[in-house]
Amino acid sequence: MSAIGTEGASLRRLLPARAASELLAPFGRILVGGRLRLRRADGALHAEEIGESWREPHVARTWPLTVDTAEVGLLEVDPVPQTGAEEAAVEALHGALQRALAAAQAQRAMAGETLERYREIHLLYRVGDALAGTLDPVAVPRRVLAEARGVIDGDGGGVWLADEEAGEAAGARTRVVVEGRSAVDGDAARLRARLADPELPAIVAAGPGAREHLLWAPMMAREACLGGVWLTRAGDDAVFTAGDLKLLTALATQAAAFLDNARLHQRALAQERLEQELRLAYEVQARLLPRETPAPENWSVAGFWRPAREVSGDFYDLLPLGDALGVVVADVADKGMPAALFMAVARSLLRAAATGGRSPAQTVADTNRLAALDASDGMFVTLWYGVLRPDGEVRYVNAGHNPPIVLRADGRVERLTRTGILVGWDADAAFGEAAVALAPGDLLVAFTDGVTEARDPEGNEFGEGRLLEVVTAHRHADAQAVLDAVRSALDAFVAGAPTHDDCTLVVARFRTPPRGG
Amino acid sequence: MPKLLIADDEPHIRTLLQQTLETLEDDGVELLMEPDGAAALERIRLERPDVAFLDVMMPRMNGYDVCAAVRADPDLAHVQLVLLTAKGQEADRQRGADVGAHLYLTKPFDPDALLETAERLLGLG
Repeated sequence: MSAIGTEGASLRRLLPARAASELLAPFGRILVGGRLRLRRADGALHAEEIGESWREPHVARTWPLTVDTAEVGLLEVDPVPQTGAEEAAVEALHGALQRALAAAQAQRAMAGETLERYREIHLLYRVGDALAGTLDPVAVPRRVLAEARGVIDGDGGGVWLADEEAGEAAGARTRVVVEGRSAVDGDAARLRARLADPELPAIVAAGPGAREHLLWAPMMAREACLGGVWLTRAGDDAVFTAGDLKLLTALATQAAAFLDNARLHQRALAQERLEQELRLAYEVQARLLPRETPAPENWSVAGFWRPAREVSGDFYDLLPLGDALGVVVADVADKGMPAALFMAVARSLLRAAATGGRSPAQTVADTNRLAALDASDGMFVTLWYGVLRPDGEVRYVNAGHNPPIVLRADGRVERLTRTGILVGWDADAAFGEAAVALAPGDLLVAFTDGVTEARDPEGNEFGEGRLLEVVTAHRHADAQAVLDAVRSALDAFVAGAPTHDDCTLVVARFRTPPRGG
Repeated sequence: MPKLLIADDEPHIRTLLQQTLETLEDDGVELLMEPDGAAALERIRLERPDVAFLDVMMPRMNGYDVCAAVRADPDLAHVQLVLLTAKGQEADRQRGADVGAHLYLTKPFDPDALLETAERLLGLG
């Protein structure tokens, strides 16, 4: 498309026939015996003035009418001026015509400039309007390219989009939208250097064409280059102008802002989807935890589970085993979704293994064998599994877990230390079993390291010392009250600081057996 | 020969309009220029152009009144009227429609859109 109002000068456009006739008229009264004619570049008659006594054509003489260096027409005087006065009159007329043409040309140039600005304003307005409603990152470059090609003459063009994220698959590193023929000239090197990306395949592969010109503008937003727009044009005289570059740059900058916005929106959507999935995962996982606390004979039991993120690698489980109760507190050695999935697997394996009157050691060994087969690299779980009997005896396995605490009614503290390695490491691992007898009023507290390693805003750990203090202070209360006290103390200590680890805690209290029991 | 009249009291706007539409001359369209509303109405009655682009704010007679006068004349029913104004209010647009304007374009006008509009109204490709 050629720009409106910026075409080459013509006599018809610069000096309309009516104005030309008005200019000729006074000279017709001076050159009464002559005929004055203005002819256009193609020879067509544009205007004429015939003196009163002119009768028939003689030999005429012509004066060229020029604008800049281009000839736009002729002044034709018939007959050739005879006297010095006539000669002077024709020279004066020629001079007046030349000045009128020059002034008209200057005015046209000014008007052409103004129209160019008008077009730019409307182009940017139109693109902005069209893109304002789009949040599709693919639509933005296509629209920009279409608009650019609409206003700037070009044979071909394209949009290059830089990677959104580093580390994408190599094949997807560069996406290029190309329409028409694409080519490069020497500017390709500058383009590559400026965009600092080794991959501009569609442009570079085409190779430099003979007498081809390249116009390009980077799409910059928030000081980052999101890509670039280019247009190509063939032919020696088909060079792009500074105005073309300015327009393309304005277009590219505007497009970059919209592209940036569209990408931010997409990222926000993806984040929202992820959060929704994690919320669902949390709900599923929360259902894997005991919904009711069984009340085995002579024991009161309470459990607490709090994931650091939506999902957790911690869990606890309470398994009714006849008149006894199996208690599991476990911590998968990872976080997030993989840990949560492994937690679900470990819980199910242990539940299945615990049935049929198997001892804690057998249960954990079976669980370990199956978990080791299933576990991917680096997926292990530390766990404490104990069976609480109605007579106060607790038989347990500690598979690499931080030792639960037994707080005797008189204030003494014992720790139920490790009897085996963590679960999932070695399929053939053997697990020892230990026993501890609780007397009425004794407390058992099993927990994950998320409890003792919880940090306050200054970075200090809650620690086992604080845990013991709280438990000791409440050692005569029932299990739920002890658990609530620990939880409150933990919340007060952390004081809203971000938690980095999951927290799980189970408290069991052996009560005085009823008389005759 | 199709005719298109341009009326605007601002000489430089007239130049811009003319320069935008002058390519129509290559299609045989005659461009007529007038500097005010009254002159425009007189020229419309005389030349009976196919299309008239009228500025709204003009001395002697504003664009709305020229529109109304043209619409009141059954002999000029074929004249298609386009109002051009710096105003862009919906009320102005409605007033233009009320007095029989076919279109209402705001300044600064989009040269491409203006030319396309003229071509469409003149039935040119």
